[in-house]
Amino acid sequence: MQKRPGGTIARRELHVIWLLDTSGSMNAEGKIQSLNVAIHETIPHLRAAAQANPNVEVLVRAITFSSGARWHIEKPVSVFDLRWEDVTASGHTDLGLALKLVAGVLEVPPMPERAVSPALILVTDGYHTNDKDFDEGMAALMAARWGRPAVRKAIAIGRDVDISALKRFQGDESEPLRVQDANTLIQAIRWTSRVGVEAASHVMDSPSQSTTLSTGGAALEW
Amino acid sequence: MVSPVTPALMPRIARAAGASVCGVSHTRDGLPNQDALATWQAGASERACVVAAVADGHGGARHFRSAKGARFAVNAAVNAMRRIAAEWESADQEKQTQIASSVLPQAIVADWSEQVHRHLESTPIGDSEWQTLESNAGADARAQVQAEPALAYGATLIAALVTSRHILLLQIGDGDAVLVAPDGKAWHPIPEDGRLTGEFTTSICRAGAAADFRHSIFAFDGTASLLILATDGYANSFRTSADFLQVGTDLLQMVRLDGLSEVEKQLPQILEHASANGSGDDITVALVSLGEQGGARARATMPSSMRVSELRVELATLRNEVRRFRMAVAVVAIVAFGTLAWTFRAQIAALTERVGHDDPKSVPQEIKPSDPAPVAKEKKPARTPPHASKPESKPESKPK
Repeated sequence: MQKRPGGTIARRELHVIWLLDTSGSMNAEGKIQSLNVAIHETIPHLRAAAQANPNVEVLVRAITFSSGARWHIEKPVSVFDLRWEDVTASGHTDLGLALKLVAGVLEVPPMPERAVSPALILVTDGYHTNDKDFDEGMAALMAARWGRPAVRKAIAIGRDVDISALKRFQGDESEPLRVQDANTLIQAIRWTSRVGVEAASHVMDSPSQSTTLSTGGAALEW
Repeated sequence: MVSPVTPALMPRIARAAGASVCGVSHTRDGLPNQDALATWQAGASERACVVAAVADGHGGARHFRSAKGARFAVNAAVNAMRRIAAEWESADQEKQTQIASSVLPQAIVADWSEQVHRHLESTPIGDSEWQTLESNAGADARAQVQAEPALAYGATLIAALVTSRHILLLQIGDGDAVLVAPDGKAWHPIPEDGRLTGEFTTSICRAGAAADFRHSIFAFDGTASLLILATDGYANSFRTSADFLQVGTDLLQMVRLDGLSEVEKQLPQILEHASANGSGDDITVALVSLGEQGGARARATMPSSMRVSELRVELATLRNEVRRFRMAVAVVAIVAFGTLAWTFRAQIAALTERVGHDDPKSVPQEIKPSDPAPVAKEKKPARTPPHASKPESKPESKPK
């Protein structure tokens, strides 16, 4: 066997990180239950996307934010080993603290120098509690090595959502996905989570993505 | 660690090789190899010069003709660098910087745009291409390409021009240029572009692309033994940057052991393995051996025609160097003679005067302490060139 030049060969990592609003308002009208169902239903689709792209290793993490922010899944876990434990809702909407928390892991290290752009999927149903925390969180995210290049998608649940904050999170003028019922929430989480996994090579001015989703039929409106 | 070779002992002759393989993910998806490779070497009768270029066509839906775009990019680089090689080699530092930062990028982009234009004229974008684009990326993407058809051909480019005294590297977009020192140490010589992260890259298809080129200029003096140009599929196949730079160290050792031609034969298999177990992307590599001949094992079995052609190139380069050396020696000799003549003008004048009166056979002994020549004044150390110190010692000792 001839020697091959170079050190260790490895697939590139793709980190998918969900930032999930678990504030008290998510208890209303079964939103938190729908969120858990949506995550459960998204996992097989993520696995399918990962299987179709065997040269990328898809790793998943999750943060929840309410009164404070915390890791729900802290250690990056292969999408093939992912088991979802349902989240519960109570408290405020400390989105800014969640952004600071995720910014901390988007540096190199712990992130690799060479990776596929991470995908950050934010799901919320309201307004963040603290403007200063949000500003600081956005600044930390944008300063992190993999923060700015990350694919950042936001999903707004219901009508009473701070859309301008979500646009800032996404980093462009595109509208966040708005979902009004359980079925579209499932579609939205599935779609946004796959965006990063299916990412291909783009030039700087990558095309804007569609921001509309068809509703899945009869469902409870939020 | 690679054993060092004394740079001074190496004839500085560059030679180029390379390979390009289709990525396993492209093969899986029925896509072509969207990379391109081009190398060019001056003939024996020409001024010593090597050009190498690699390009990586973008994989996004809008760049559906990027394989052509990559081919056009390496062609444009080789054309432009060949044309400017002689001017580049004789230019001063300021002019070289101007060529690297402005003249060449503009020439390459203009040539690439012209090739794209001609291709669009001969092969207009067809209905099936538009439909595929729209179904893959939406109506917005179609509108973008309709407004700016060059987007369909988007590619990155890394190119090198190696002349007898300098190495010029140019790059737009991602990918890696790596230099390897004689001791095996490898490094990235081209400044990083902070905008290149994740899946995003600058591109030759963007408006104002010439301004997005980065460059580096190095003396071709034995500081580096090997140059590697690689599309990003190669580095993306390694866990860390250090793992990738190890490629440079290892390839130099392989070139020394087996010779460049033999390593070139092995490259496709090496790159296919990296793609299959790493990035999955197309991988293209150009190798430029910078002066080391290496490959004793390979040369023993090398066809005689190859040896003769290589020797011709070596001979032409050595002749050029000998010619330059002779001219330098002549200039130094003239300056030294002039300096000596000026320094000893008083003695020479006195000598000439005495020769007019005394026996010509006794000239060297005729200068006496009582002679009025201002020897001491003419021998201020600060005004005496170091190389003239020996001849001065003799007249100086005389007064004692």
